[in-house]
This record gives sequence, C-alpha cells and structure tokens, in this order.
Amino acid sequence: MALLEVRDACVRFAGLVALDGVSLSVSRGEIVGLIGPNGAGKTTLFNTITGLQHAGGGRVSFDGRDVTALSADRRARMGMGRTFQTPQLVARLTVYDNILLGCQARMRNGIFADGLRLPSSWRNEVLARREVDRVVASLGLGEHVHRGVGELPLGGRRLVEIARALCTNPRLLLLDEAASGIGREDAGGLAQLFRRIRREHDLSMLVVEHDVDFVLSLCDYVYVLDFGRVIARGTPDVVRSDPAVITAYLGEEVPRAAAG
Amino acid sequence: MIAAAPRDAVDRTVRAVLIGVFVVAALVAPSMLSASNLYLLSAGLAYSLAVLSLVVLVGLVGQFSLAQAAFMGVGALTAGHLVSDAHVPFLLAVPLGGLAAVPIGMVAALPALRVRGVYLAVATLSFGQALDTLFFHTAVNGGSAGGGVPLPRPAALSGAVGYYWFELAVLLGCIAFVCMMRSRRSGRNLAAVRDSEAAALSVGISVVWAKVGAFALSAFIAGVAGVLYAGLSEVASGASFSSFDSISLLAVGVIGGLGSAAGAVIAGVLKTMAPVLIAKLPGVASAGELVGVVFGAGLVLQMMTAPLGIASKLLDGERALAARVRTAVVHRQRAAADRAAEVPG
Repeated sequence: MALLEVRDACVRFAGLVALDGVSLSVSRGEIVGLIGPNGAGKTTLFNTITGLQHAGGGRVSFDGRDVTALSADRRARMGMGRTFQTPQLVARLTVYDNILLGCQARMRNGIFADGLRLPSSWRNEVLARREVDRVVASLGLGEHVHRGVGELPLGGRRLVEIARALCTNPRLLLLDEAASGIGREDAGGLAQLFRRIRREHDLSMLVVEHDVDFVLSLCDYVYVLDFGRVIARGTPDVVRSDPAVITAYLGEEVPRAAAG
Repeated sequence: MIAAAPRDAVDRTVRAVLIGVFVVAALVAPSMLSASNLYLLSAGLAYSLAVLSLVVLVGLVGQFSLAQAAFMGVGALTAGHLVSDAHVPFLLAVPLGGLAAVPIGMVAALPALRVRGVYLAVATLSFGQALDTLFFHTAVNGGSAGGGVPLPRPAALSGAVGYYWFELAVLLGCIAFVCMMRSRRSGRNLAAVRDSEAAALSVGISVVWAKVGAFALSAFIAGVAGVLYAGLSEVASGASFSSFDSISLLAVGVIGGLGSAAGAVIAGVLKTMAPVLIAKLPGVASAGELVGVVFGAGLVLQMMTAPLGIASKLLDGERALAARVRTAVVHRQRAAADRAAEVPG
C-alpha cells in the first residue's frame, strides 16, 4: 500500500476552485514530483495533505490510516515533515534552536520540568541536541548554527527548514520549492542531497518545484497540476513528452482550450 | 532578559554583574525608604510579579490578556479563605492561591484558540469582568462594601521589611523559573507558536496546548502576585482586582516592556513609585496636581523614544556594555600576545 494516498481532494476559496478532485499517491522510498504553473494549486495540495488546509471534499490517508479529520500537528507527529515556500522560521531563535524545534514533539518535558530544570528536562535536551548535531553535520550547516536565522540567505533558510523537518523523523518529507533561492548551478548538488536524505533517513518525498528540469531529473514519478486538476502523471520520460504538459507550460505555442 | 539570551562568557558576566547590582539595590532599598514608601515599593513588587505573568503571555507566546487582575483576585481570595477559614499556613497559601488560578486561566485560554489581538483582549476582559461581578463581591468574599477576607501574615513575615524580602524572593524565584523555562523545550514551543503557528504545527507542536500551558503558568504567577498584594494589607479584597486594574497592568507593562522580565520589574515598581519619584522633582512637590501631568508627559515621551518599553533600552545598553568589554578583552589579549612575541625563545 502507498504511504500517502490522496483521493479526490477538493478545496474552494470563496468560489474559486483551488483543488478540483486531485488524486495522488506516494509509495515508500519514492521521490514524487509535483509541477505546474503558478496558481495551479500545488501549495494548496501540500497544505491539504499536511492538514493546514481543511479539505472541502475527498480523503487523505497516511500509512494506511485516514487522516482527513486529524489536525496538522497530529499528522506531523505521525511522520509528515514539510518545508514552506516562504521559510517559516522563528526569528528570535538561533539556527540551532530552530532545528531543535523538530525534536520537540517527541520530548515529554513540560513547563514545570523546564522551569525547575528537573532531570527530565536535562535528559531530553541532551538527546535532542545529539539528534540536531547529527542532522547539522549531515547537511553541512555546522558553521552557521549559532547565527540568527535572519542572517542566512534564502537558500540557507531553506536548508534550516529541511534540517528541522528531518529532526521530526519523518517518513514522508514534503518540500515546497526547496530549490528556489538556490542557484541553477547548485541544482545538481541539491538533487544529490535529496537522494542522500532519502537513503540515510529512509523516507519518501513529495517535491513541489518551479524548475521542471530539476524535478524531471530528480523524481521517480511526476504529477502535473493545472487549474486544480491533475493534467498529466507518469515517469519523467512520459511527462516530458505529454502534449497536455507542453500546452500548460508553453501555452503560447499551442492555443489553450477553455482557459480561464 | 527574554528578548536576547546571553551568548558568550562576556555576555554572561555583564548579565551577572547587572543582576548583582539590581539585587544589591533591592536589598538596601528598605533602609533608604520611609515606611510609607517601603509599603508602596512592596506593592510594586507584587505588581511586578503580576506584569511578569503578562510577559509570559505577550512576550513568550504573543497572546493578550485583560484578565490578569481577575487571576490575582482568585489567588488572593483563595489564600484569604485558606488562611482565615481553614487555618492553612500563609506560606502554603501562597502557592495554593496561585494553583487555584490555574484552572481559571486555562478556561480564559479558550478564546485564544480561536481569536487573536484585540478580539482576544476583549474576550479576556469580559471573562475577568464576569469573575469580578459574579464572585469577588459575594457575602463570603467580604460583600459589596469591599470588606474583603482577612489574610493575616505569620509572625516571621509580620514586619514590613521582612515581608518585602519575602516578596523579593518570590519575585526572583518566578523570574528564574520563567527564564529557565524559556530556553528549554517549553519556551521554544511558545516562541514557535508566537512567530509561526504553521511552523509549530509542521513539527508536531500542539498550538492548543502551548497556549493553554502559557495561560496556566500566567494565571499561576498572577494568582501568587494577588496573594502577595493582599498579604501586604493583610486583607484580600475583590475591590483591588477589577478589570480596570487589568488594563492598568497592561499599560504599565507596555511602559516597562513586555518582552522581558526586567520590563516586568520596572513596570511594577513604576506603577506604585512613579508618583513618589515625580513628587520629588523640584517645583512639582508643592503642587500635587502636577504629578499626573508630569506622569502623562513622561509616558508620551517614553512611547516616542522607547516604544518597546524601558527595558528594551536597558537591554540595548547592556549589549553596548558587553561589546565594549569584549573589545577591551581582545585588546588586552593582543597586547599580551605581542609582549610574548617580543621575548625570544
């Protein structure tokens, strides 16, 4: 069974149809790409999968369990890690403490234990820091960890988000435009990094990208979204030559039917 | 202290020295003040603790509350009944008063799960007003005349100076608790919820429990502050904890700075001591009505020059001081290295 199953997801914003019956699945160990023009509904689909956006219709199952009614934090604790198109970092915390946030749902020490610095507070802090040190070393963030997150360039902030998500021990990592803000020449390195993350952390990925070539070179399977619908799906080779995709991306060459 | 944590040895040393200066000043204050001013300063310390309860909400998790005086009232009246009706020792009644406010605080957190900003302020204001109207003036709580419930202090704390030291110890203990909590998991959870609920949710942090937990801690601290305040006059009276007091706590909190424990201390002390200090200004002393005018003008000036509170300016000063110390240390090390290099072999 697939790790993630989306069936007929529908989302409407005040009359605007953002998702119109989208179905998608991600199998264990797979890197699945999601591409589509601006406003196609990629981020809305991400939010629907992770629970930040309530689905008006359809079903999301994760690891064989229907999670449609579960809150975003519950889904995260079940193993959905994600990054954001605009990095969502805590400006007042250092890079290191931002990454630590990823470990915190597993920690059990509460306000009382932390305020009195009870043994459970120390124990959990040490364990969490060990985990963060490992992820920081693996992503090569070492020299930046004690800086404020605001001092990092966009690419660095995206990497911090990935590190934070990895600290949640996700089984599915959803990356929202992780390659933007990183130079085209570094895209190859980034694809290598994603593959290494998949191997080392034994996880699946769902990747939203603007850069079609990047997605087609990275992913095992690709979905193409336009106007809230899946207009094409398949292996990169199949998608590359799909006429509907060419229409959506190179609309000026082939007249688009019923655009609006 | 909450805005920026110390980063290196120099920062920590400067912070330790400043805290030391504050503690020494707090310790010598009773011997410098008249009896009536010591009473005002003692009331100020109780208010400092009450503003600290606001710092937990506003500074740490970004939530507003205008129910803090109601939490204080619940703490004070509970302690009053415990001591005068159930003969519970005063020292035990202090934390129990705080604990009694915790469930009230958790209920007050419910609006925070749905609304924010000014709507939350209004919701908590109404909540506090309801408590005030329904419970604070019932016959068992001293009646509508504001008679209150007796809260006698034990012999060891019966003296004005002894009680002042007791309040100071409780205040410093609560500040230490909040600061230690802040730099651990719970504090980082609150910071994440404050800055980005989406980020908090994405790593599995429960936004609901973070807010409810913050309100619970805030209510506990406010409840303890209420007990301390009532203990000063040895009467717990609902009349001292109206919605207007909640508003005035938020106002002085903004002046002191709701981002830091230092701001809470400044705010509480200013609330009771500012009129005394202003009356000491030349020319003002003879005209009592000028006190309010000078206070108002000072407020406007402060909002223009330090909109993040007086404490933010102090913390800026601390950072500047630390930077100077750091430069001096580097110079001295360099000079020492130069001398060592001049010695052959």
